[in-house]
Amino acid sequence: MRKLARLIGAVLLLGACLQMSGCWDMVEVSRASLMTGLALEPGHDGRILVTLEVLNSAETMSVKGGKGGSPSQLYSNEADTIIEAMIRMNEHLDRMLIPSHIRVIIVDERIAREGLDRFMDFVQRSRYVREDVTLLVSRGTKASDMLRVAYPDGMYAGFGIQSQVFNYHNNWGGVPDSFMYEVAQSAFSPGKELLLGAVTLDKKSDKEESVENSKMLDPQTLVRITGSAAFRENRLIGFLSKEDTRMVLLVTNQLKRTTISFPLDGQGKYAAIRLIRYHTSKKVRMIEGRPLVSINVEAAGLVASMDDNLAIDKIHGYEELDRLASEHLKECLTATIEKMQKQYKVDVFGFGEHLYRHRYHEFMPVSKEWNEQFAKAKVVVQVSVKIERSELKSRNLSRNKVEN
Amino acid sequence: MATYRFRHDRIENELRAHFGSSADLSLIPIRLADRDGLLCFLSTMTNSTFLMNNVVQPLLQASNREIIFDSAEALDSLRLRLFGGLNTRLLEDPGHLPEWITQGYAGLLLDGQDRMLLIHVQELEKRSIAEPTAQNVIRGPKEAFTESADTNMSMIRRRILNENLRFEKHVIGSKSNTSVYLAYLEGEADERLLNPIREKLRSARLTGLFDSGGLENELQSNRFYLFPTAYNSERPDSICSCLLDKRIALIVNGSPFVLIIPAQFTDFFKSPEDQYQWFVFGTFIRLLRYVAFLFSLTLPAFYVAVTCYHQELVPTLLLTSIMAQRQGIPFPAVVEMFLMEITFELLREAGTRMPRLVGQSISIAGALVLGEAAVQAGIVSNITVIIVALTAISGYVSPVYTFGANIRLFRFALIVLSSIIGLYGVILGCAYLLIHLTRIETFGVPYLSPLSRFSGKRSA
Repeated sequence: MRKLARLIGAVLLLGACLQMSGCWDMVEVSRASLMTGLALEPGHDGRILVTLEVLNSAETMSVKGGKGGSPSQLYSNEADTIIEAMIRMNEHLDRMLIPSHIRVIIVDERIAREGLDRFMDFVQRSRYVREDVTLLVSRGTKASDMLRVAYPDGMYAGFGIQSQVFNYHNNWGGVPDSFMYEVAQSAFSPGKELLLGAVTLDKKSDKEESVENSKMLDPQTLVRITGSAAFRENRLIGFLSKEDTRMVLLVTNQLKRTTISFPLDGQGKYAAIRLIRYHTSKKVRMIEGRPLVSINVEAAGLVASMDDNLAIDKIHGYEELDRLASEHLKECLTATIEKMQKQYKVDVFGFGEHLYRHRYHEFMPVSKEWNEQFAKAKVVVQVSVKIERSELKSRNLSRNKVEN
Repeated sequence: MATYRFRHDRIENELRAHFGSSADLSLIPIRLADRDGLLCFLSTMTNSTFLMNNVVQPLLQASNREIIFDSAEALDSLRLRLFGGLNTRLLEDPGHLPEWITQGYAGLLLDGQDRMLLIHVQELEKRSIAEPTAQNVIRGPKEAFTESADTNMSMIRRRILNENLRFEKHVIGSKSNTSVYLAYLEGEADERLLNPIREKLRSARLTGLFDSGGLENELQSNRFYLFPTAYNSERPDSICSCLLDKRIALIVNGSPFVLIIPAQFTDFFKSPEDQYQWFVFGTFIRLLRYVAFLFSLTLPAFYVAVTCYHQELVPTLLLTSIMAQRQGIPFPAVVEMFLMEITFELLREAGTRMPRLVGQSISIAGALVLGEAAVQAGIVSNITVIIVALTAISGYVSPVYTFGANIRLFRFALIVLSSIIGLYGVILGCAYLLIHLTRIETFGVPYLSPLSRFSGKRSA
């Protein structure tokens, strides 16, 4: 009797467990497609035009034996909300969509100027969209056109653009890493405005986009990273150049690696150093109602190229190079900060956030109009670059040196 | 005058009645001095040369030895003077004679004696000691047990030269009367463990016992245990190390696999070779076996769950690859997985049972036709074949074959669960398995005991 009761109990328990989920969640992967890119543009009558990049997995790079077809296809739909447009995509599309592998979201400049809030809610609310999606702003081009670019070797645009941004960010630093969670982060950190990557399209001919593009020696259409887009309260207010972006990343310690070229003597001769380590320390305080920001960059690098022969087999040669590099970097940094203060008047550097964290009582009274405070802030920049060594050689091999 | 129970004609008739027309019953009338006698034995339990040299020859020379066949002690003196080197005993009750004869004794009786002499003449053909076939090591002893319990006991004894080593004989099987030896180290093995085992052996209700596997099932307290509760090995070194470890071995006559009780979960991940090499490598290999166990248990279920329900868990490139491979496959992932798993089970079973001569054809049919062609034809995807192959290989990593076998059955249950409710089902199944594992006890020893010692009753 007890056994029977236990058996019934077990069956009921198992039954209850089975109730909690079910086959209706099942997606047969061979009848579904991955959604890898999302482009948002303004549509007619205030609606939103959603373009999806849908993967044709048999033609992507990870698989051998594709037939040379396009690795992805684009489908567009217009609706009042993004989610509706997406769900209704089967008006055009034959397959079930798997949204969880989305790699890149590209927002049209026109939408970004109106504000990101309109669609951010959806992507943040959805459990299928990862927080580390790359979020970019298309500059001067339709966002969906970005997804129309074919990359070689079966790479689809979503992954291609993400990889491009990733590598550019890591190697030169001309673009922020631009993850979607940064939107949420900047929303929760007072005194820091959002900075996202900006991309545009380089078109050399007016031909229709096709897979053939990726097979050309000289691709006719390329996605180009232009730098970054600065926001104020989630509205796009302007674009920063690659150089300015790099300086912003240097100040916020987000720069991974970079190479800096600087003039040696003002006669067209340059040297380049690779920055291998750096740290930027900041101090922000309010002095007589005006913020005083002091920035101290300490960097270490190595000589990557030099047009002229500075005697860097001697200490004074290194010191000379250190001085030139530091001065150049300081100039660039000052110029970028001034531009942000005068032209855009937004604090993308996070000086306000620094003040908020370190001197809460000084920040709180000005928290509402911090961007105005930033615009009139006094900024002191100190840069000290230490060159540790040269790469393989200390002198360049030039013919006249041998003759001497 | 006492009625002589041991008259040769009477015994002869009795034996004929007992053994019927069995061809191997040998009844040889003899005459010593002036008395009639009888030599009776089963010709299948001995060999004629042995009998000639050890029994018949001495008897022929008996008259030279001044044995007085009239006296009541005639058998005693025969026993001492002629068969000194053999295992002999005196039988008083003729009713037990058939039993002794079937056990390989020859009966010698002389008219006028009220006892008879039993001489152990068992001499059987047996397989010589060979290399292990199921539990190989690269470095370590290369001997394996044989079907003869005597040989097996000898192999244990010569490794443990210790007077405390006991071999306790039990007879199991109401019809087969198989000898089972309980081996243990006196003073080491726990009496609380020995007594219940003795009790079990005594109360075992088997008609026949031909391998230790049958005894293992009999000793298991619950037949629905998914895991074997007795360890078995064909390696004397592994059995000996268990004996030193205060455990108890059961040697079944006729089985080259010796049982060890109690067995614990972790035993099935140990190979004797682990002890014979550098401990770091031994530990690494042992950990690898645990990983293989998890693989063989969950990998197919995990694959089915992830591709059907949790695509977001798969790295994009891998998912793309899986999707591309599954393009045009006519079956859902579960069906495909079952198809391949069943195919593999078929191949394995065929490979084990088939005659050696046709072995080649199975590998050709299996590897080429089923593997290659099924993928080429687009019936199953490459990734499924990879998963099934990896699972299959992992299943054979456990040094004890039976351990992997039961797990395979549970794997199917997990696949079904995962196909209905995804990863949630896999977790449910694994949770059940864990609960099951913690509940298993063998003769009072928790199955997970080295890992978890908690016990509500005992800790109180």
